[in-house]
Amino acid sequence: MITTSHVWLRRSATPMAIAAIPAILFILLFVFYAGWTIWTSFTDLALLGRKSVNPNFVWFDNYIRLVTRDGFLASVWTTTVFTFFSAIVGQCGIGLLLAILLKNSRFKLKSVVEFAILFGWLAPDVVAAFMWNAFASSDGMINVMILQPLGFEKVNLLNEYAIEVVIIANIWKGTAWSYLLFSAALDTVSKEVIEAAYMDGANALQRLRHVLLPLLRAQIATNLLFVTIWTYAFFSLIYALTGGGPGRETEVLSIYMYKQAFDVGKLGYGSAVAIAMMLIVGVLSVFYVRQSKDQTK
Amino acid sequence: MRNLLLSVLTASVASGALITAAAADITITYPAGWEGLMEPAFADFEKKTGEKVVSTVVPKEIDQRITVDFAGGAASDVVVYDSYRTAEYAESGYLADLSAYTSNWGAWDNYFGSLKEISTISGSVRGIPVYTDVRMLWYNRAIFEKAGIEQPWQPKTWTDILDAAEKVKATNPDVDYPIYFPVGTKLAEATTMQGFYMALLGADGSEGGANRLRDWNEGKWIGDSPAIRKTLSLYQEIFLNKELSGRELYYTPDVWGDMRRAFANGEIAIMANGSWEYNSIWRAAGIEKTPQERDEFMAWTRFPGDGSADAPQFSNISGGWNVAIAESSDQKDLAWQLVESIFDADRYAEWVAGQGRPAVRRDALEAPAYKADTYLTSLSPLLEETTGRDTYPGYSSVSAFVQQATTDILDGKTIDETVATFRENLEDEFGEDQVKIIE
Repeated sequence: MITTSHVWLRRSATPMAIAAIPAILFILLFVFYAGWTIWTSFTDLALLGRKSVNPNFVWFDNYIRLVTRDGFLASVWTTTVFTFFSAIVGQCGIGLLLAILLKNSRFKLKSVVEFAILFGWLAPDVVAAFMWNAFASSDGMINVMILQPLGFEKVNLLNEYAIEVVIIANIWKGTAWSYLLFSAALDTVSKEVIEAAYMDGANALQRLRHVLLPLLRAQIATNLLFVTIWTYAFFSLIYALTGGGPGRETEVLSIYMYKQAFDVGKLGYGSAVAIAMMLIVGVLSVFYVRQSKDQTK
Repeated sequence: MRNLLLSVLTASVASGALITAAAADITITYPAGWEGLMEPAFADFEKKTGEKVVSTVVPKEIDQRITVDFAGGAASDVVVYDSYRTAEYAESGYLADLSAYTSNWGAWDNYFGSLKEISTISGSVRGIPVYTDVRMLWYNRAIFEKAGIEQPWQPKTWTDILDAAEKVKATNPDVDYPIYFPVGTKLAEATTMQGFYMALLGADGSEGGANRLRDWNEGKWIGDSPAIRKTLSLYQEIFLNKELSGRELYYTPDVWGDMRRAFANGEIAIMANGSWEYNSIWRAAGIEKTPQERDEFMAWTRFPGDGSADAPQFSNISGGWNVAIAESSDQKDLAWQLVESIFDADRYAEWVAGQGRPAVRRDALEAPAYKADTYLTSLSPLLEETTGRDTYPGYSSVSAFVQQATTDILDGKTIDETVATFRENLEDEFGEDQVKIIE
């Protein structure tokens, strides 16, 4: 099989090379922009004014300011909290739980739940932001239809629990992905293994902990890698819903970077934030990849 | 297969031709809501020149869009931009020099000198003003009546404003915003202009830039001053100490629309805002109200100084919008013809009056539609005593630092901490020798 494809490859080298041009161009484009961002992070390039025309090379000034000035470290913390609760605990945890619970459930229940979580996934982020605003604002559904009829005081959720609201909104938005991935993964686990564990007297929790989770380890690690990467850089829903506020309560790194680059106009500093984000996510990725490889040893 | 390849090739050549054809058209980017001024002008222009106008209408945040378009080399031939950007855009080489055109344009003499100045950098005209604005405190009459506050309301100091808001809070528990005072970064320039600057200008005398963000004589930005501290403490009073304002409206997905609907729904008692709101509130709320009905619902009063000895009695600051030609345009003469069409005297006068915006040309002020508008004519005294922001290159960064400072106050930082960060930001951006401290 392999030999055949090699022969085919040899015979069609020219068309293959032509077909590869778009891919090569894309790769070059990515490398160019990544290189440009790294270069920019060492300059004081601005969006406007003198420094937009003649930027200076400032060595590590931007990186030093990341740790010596207010803003960046606070945003790292906010982003970490947001990612941990919304992606790792929320999307991944709830996705796995739903996949396990619904695996053998009746067709109708499964369809209803799948439709519900897929709806969140399919809704555009800005639409989702308006929905959650309508849901959680002081005149929103939670207050008007739940809290007030039950005799509770009106709570301004977006004022007082902003980070909690964006975390829940993102869980709602993104759980479908993890659910679908784990559902597919569960289908590959052979029934015999689970039944064997059952016969050996393992209860449900033990079957989950000692059989299912180890079998799904690679998929869990891969999923954690994905959701962490894109949640760490998540922007649109939070920006549209709270703009990073009130105050800086929901100012995650992507919003901080955007504000520094495009509101303040410091493209150099904004690039340094972007590179720092990339490094943080890179470290986490290495950790996850190691986790998924351990199992194969 | 071969046929398919051929048709793909033909299609790509055809689309290439289309793109080339499109490049010869005149392009313009302008904000939504200006169609009444623009579309008839496009029709005139197309009839006169035979060229086509391709327009991009930006529904929101056009300021940022234009800036990024310029920076990315993708600006239209003609752009509509916030006039405070003139100095920075000009310094970046984004705006074409219009002096040669304006010197041969009869209408240019009709523009007010102060507005020509804002748009003229080092002797070169960079933009044509469209309209200007003034700022004030709007209030809801019914809420004030319930709170027992005398009308017309004429606060003399900041204490009077806070007192009125406290009365509202005590008597109208349903009003979440006894005062709406722009704060934070999501409202962007509105925080700086409608909130911070209005307070700052009334917090001290003008000597040595004491009530501004820049000392123009020394050529330095001001990193710390008693006026800056007083202004931040006003934010502290409103949002933390007296809790006279909710926070949600400053951060919702639609900050402008939600603020306007909240005012129309009686959720805001006092609102630091601009002259355009007399119309914009009702447009956003989707409610038709005659001028008389509006006057029964809302009224405005001048924004007082803080009451200290040197401070001016009232403060006011103006901005406005310009039409300009991008330096990158390779058909500037044609673009200028479009600009002239946009400023057709009769059409412009009627449109600006219909928008409820203070005009920037003498001939427009004389137009019957403008003269008949009692609201617009009532703004004239404010227009005579107004000032502009410190639009020296770098201003937009300074303004962003101001917005961050108000955020810090909301986050519970002390005035000392907030001012220290503000000053540090300025020093990072411009260098220590470019930043002045007023004790």
